[in-house]
Amino acid sequence: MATAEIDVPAEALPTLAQANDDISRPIYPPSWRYYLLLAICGIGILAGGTAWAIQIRNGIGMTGINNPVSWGVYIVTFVFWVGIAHSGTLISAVLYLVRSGWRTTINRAAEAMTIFAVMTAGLFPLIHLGRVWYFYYLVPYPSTRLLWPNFRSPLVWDMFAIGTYFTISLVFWYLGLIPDLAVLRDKFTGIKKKLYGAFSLGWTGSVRDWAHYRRLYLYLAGIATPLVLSVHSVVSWDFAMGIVPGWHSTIFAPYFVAGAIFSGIAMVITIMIPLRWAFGLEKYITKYHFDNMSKLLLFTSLIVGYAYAIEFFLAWWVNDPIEKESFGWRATGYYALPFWIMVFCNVVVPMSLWFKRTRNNLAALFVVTIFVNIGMWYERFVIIVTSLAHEFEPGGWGIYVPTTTEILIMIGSFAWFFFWFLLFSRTLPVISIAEVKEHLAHEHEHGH
Amino acid sequence: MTEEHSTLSADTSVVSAERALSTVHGRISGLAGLLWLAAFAIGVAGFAVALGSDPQRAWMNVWGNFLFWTALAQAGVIFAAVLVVAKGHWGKPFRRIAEATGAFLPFSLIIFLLMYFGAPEIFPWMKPGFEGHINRDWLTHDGVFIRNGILLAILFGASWYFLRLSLRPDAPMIAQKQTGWRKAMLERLSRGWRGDEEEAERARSILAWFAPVLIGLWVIIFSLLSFDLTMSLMPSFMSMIWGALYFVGGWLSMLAIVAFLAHRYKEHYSLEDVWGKWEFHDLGKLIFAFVIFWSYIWFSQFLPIWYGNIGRETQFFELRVDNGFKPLLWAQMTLIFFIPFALLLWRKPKMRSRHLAIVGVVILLGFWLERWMQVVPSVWKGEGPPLGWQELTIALGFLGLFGLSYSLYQSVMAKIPVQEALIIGERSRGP
Repeated sequence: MATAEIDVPAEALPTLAQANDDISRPIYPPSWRYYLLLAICGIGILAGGTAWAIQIRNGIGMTGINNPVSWGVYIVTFVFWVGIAHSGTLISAVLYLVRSGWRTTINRAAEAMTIFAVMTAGLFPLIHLGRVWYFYYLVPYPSTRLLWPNFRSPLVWDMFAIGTYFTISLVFWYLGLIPDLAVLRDKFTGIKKKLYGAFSLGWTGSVRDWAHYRRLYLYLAGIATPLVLSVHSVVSWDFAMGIVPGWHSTIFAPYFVAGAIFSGIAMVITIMIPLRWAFGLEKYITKYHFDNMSKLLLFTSLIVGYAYAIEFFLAWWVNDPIEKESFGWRATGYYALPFWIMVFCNVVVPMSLWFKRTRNNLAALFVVTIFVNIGMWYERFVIIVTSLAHEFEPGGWGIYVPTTTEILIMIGSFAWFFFWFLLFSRTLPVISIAEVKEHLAHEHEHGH
Repeated sequence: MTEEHSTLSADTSVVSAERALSTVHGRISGLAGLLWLAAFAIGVAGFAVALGSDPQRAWMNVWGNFLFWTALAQAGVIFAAVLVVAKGHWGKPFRRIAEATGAFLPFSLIIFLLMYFGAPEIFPWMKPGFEGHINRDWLTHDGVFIRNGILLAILFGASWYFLRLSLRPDAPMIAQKQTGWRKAMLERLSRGWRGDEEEAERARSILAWFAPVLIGLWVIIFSLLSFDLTMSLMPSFMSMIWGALYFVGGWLSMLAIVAFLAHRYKEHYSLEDVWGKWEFHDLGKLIFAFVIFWSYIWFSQFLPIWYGNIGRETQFFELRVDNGFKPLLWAQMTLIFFIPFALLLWRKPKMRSRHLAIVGVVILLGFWLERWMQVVPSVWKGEGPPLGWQELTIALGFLGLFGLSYSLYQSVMAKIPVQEALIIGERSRGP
């Protein structure tokens, strides 16, 4: 994991044929390690699923949520996963539009991550609901009983925002896969050939195919880009529309978006480092990619740090007793430890990325991103729980402690997410073969 | 030394040194200089007369204009810093145009210090009988001006140091074309030249850490400045996005003026390949993106305030829709968002420099109004929006001063980088 290890010398550049083989290799029968990881995820899902089943049987009293803290780990984890989902669109659409070439080898995995993260996030409103069989009340449909959802509720806005995001992300991901599916169709035989062939929609690689593909990809990138702003803005308004101290803030929308990109990029790096090692993709995911991702991580960390500082500073600046009490308690009260974990993980640790040595050392980078993942979960915990626990009236203050049920379901969500990712990595190319070959062709032509 | 320069630029720069040097004026054109001076003089005279009859009105106009031009001028230097950090090769043709706005910064600092004398007319918390939450440890008359004066001096000093580093590679070659004080200044700038390679290495290693530091200073100092100068105009009002609205607005104003000036230079110097349709297309896309982004953060401020419906927050919008200010609020949003969004949605308008320049002027008018609206409705107690000769003359004065400082700077330097490759490297090094 030394610095030199992640730099690829010019002479080591693979040929186009090698790229086909290297990237599609994980799709062939995997080793026992893969099944071991799958089994671990299975156990996690089983634990989480069992906890949820018991909660459904016994009721929402199995959780620690109470009055006044009526939103706990489930909503924390929901926001966390929606945040993770952000990197996919950012890397795929925004970086595509700004012609950042370094997205090439990481966009596929990031897009897949988006899909699975939204699928994971989507479970939590159902889990939090308690009586899950009434889930359809969330859906705005013309009910004959005239039970319309309240369209002025940000929770309904969430339904639309996340639904749109998921749909566009899925289409965008699938569109990018089409040329690669054709490569797999040509490599396999039998049922696999038929399946990959059906999903590749008769792709021939002709100039006409590419012209249509490029145009549609560009349009979808253009449609998807505003979603980077909209989705987490709407999630932030779940909180900011309330007048709860610590929630009601005008900075919440951009701050949540920046935080989401921050956590999303961290998760991409966390996943890409072992993936690169496990599938032997060192030639494709290089120092260049990790260096740029690290810089983006550092940049978003600074935005998040700015938002933390502004919240405290302005509470003091305006000298409002309620704001001052709310933020003072956040940093020194019952939940001071989560707060300082958040600050340490999200602001202090990423500062190490100013140094090239850290950015170019995969072991160090991996550790940094683990800290960020932890820190961003805690950030949502701090925002949601401390604000509810310490509102206006001292008589209404309370404490929330998560129960084993909630912790197990939260762990289960990670298992669920990685389970899908493992399945994906065995079924589809984790790197865009078409884009890598385009890049390699350019490199071979113009030199490294 | 000159030979080394020419060789290197021929190898690596997008534009040859000779063509870049053809944009060096060596003087301000007589008519333009006269017009800028006249505008400035009208502004000073208007301010002086207004000060005698209605000092509050005189000072609130200074407040609004100061906010507009300072944010724009500082953002020009930041544009160059962002290009360094992001390795933005696309922006090379616009870099010098943007940087030149930094020439206004020293004047900005002087105006800020003069605003000390107008503060009692503007800040409600300095008036007797003020009621509202305010931190008296932070907001004092002396405190606001000493603190922000020092911070602005640091920021402007850092900006000038950045410009020095950025311009140094061009200085030796331009000096040969200049005479008098301009030549002396350029020679001082290029004193101790160590040769292309060493200079390039030194400039890159310094800018690698200095450019992000400068951007960080800009964000922090402009946030603090906006809290003290404008947010404190409404008792107990607090909006956490306030700082970002200010500096992002300055950034967008700067992009708008760059589009306008690039179009003018393109016509004047017949350098269609330097400021070509693809370059304008890139700039247009950036402007479009920031039109959306600024409007997004504006909406992010509006929505929670409207939804929360708390008096100390809604006062911001109430002041801007009551007393006849509503049409101005709509005009502001139309000029900043609706018109640019509608026009820049399409590809061709972004590629046509004339079109983009018009959009730039629309955005500039919008932001001038927005800055004015940040101040005036909070301060003005008269009936209806104050729109008269005071507003016109003081705005003209600021325009004249900006025009003078900008023209003076541009009379010394080239409009496009002569040795850009020395600073941010060749295209192949970036994405």
